[in-house]
Amino acid sequence: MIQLFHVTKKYAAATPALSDVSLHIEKGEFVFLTGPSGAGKTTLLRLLFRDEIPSAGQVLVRNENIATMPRRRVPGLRRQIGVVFQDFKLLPRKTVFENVAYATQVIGMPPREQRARTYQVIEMLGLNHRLHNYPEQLSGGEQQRVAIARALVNRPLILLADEPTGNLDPDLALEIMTLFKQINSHGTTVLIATHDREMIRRMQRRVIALENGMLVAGGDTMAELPAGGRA
Amino acid sequence: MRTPLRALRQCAREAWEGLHRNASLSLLAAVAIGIALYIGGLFLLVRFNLERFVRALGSDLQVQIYLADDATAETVERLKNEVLSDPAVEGVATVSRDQARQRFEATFPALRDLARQIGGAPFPASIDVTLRPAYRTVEAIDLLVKSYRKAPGVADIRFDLGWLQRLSGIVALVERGGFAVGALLALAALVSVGATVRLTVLARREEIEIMKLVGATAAFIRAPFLLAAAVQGLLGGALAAGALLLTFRLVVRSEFYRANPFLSIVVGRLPPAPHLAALAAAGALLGLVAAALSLRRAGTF
Ligand SMILES: Nc1ncnc2c1ncn2[C@@H]1O[C@H](COP(=O)(O)OP(=O)(O)OP(=O)(O)O)[C@@H](O)[C@H]1O
Ligand SMILES: [Mg+2]
Repeated sequence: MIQLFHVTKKYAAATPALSDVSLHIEKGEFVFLTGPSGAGKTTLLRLLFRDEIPSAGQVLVRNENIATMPRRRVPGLRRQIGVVFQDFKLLPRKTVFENVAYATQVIGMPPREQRARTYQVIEMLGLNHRLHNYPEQLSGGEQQRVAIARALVNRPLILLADEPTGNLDPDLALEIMTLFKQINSHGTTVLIATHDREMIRRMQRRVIALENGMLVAGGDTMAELPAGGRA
Repeated sequence: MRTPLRALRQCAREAWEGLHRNASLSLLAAVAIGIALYIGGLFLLVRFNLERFVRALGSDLQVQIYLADDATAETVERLKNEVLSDPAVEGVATVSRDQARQRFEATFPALRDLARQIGGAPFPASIDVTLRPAYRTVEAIDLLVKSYRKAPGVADIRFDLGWLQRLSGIVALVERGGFAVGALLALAALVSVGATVRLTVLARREEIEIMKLVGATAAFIRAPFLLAAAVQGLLGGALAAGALLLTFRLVVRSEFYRANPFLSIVVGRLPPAPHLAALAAAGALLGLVAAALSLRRAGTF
């Protein structure tokens, strides 16, 4: 599903955000991506939906090289990937309902289905009472859940979540993780970037660890589960 | 069937939102297009009328053999046959005195009184000669004139090559001037529409970014901008057509116009409705081009 071969990503700075990272994620896997702040987690995720292209090496998503992919195919790629952004990226002038429905509109889903799916995910994330509020009227945790709802509404093949529980209390965070697990059990490949060691320990899933842009653990599918001492 | 319709509705809604958000700038851009097309339209009006005049006068390279007042029908007939057998001649038509006057009055109703004022019979009977295309040159006409000038029944031979050339020159000048001024103003309109588009893109930058991230296609993102610009252009074109109509009415009704019958040569008639519709369409096209160019430059993709 997702393959990286010796991927290096350099921004303007001298030290690359990612250097020589190779990894492989199978269809249907549930994987954590961890590492200290600035390790390159967000960068890695952005490569997967072609928000960035690698400076060197290859990124394959569903066997397609994202660097050489023609521009007109990018929307198609992104429609298969649901992304929960670290900064949410909600539209300030749209309500909760509109923000979530927007993703379905953009891909031209029939209106009836748009509404049905939107209500469904909003309900799933416990935001019913916030339907007609604007993002600025929501708490950080609520905004985060709207972002998650939007990522899920099109039932993507791949779910990328960047720090999706960073603003949630432990109970809610666990609930969201359970939701992700549930979505994963229906076949969606899930990749979650997080600092939350407690969560990683609890979930007992594969962990890919980055440090200073370098892969330090978990590049192969059969990698070890986090050892108690390290996680 | 329902999907494109829905997409169109949504596109229209977003276009309207964009126009609405920068209402005054949008209006300004429409007016800029309107002014450009209005000025272009004025030149078009003058050119249209001048050209009509030239065509009426010359019916391309026609040679007119004016008949002497005392020429008998027999002489005229013989002359006609002789001319017709000339290799340079394609066809002939005899025009009586009355026909000549009627023809003039029909083409220039405003000059009717002028003809009366001159008095007498300013329009002699003639044989109008149409030349074969290969002989429509100054030399061929010269030869023709020489061979028939002294023929019986001929009063004079006229050909409007000089007139024609001079008038055609004026038409071309008006045309070129129109193009130059029109192009300059169109450029200004292009810039102002472009500015509206860029401002709207800027205002919606975040939204566009998010649209892209959730998989919107370039067409989906750009369509509302293009539609909005087309609407602006159409509005501008309609403004121009309206202003042109108004100008025409005002001019035709003015004292000055009535006092100067020759003005009818320049603005005697309004171009037909399709021309005015074309003006509005040109506005829409201008808007579209401006939007397409500045969308590219604004980096919406
Ligand atoms: N658009 C950018 N332009 C320049 N440098 C960038 C850009 N994005 C990230 N970086 C740099 O790349 C490095 C990795 O950043 P990245 O956002 O991937 O880290 P992260 O692991 O997601 O961190 P955090 O846990 O704080 O979100 C950092 O040093 C960061 O400053
Ligand atoms: Mg990050």
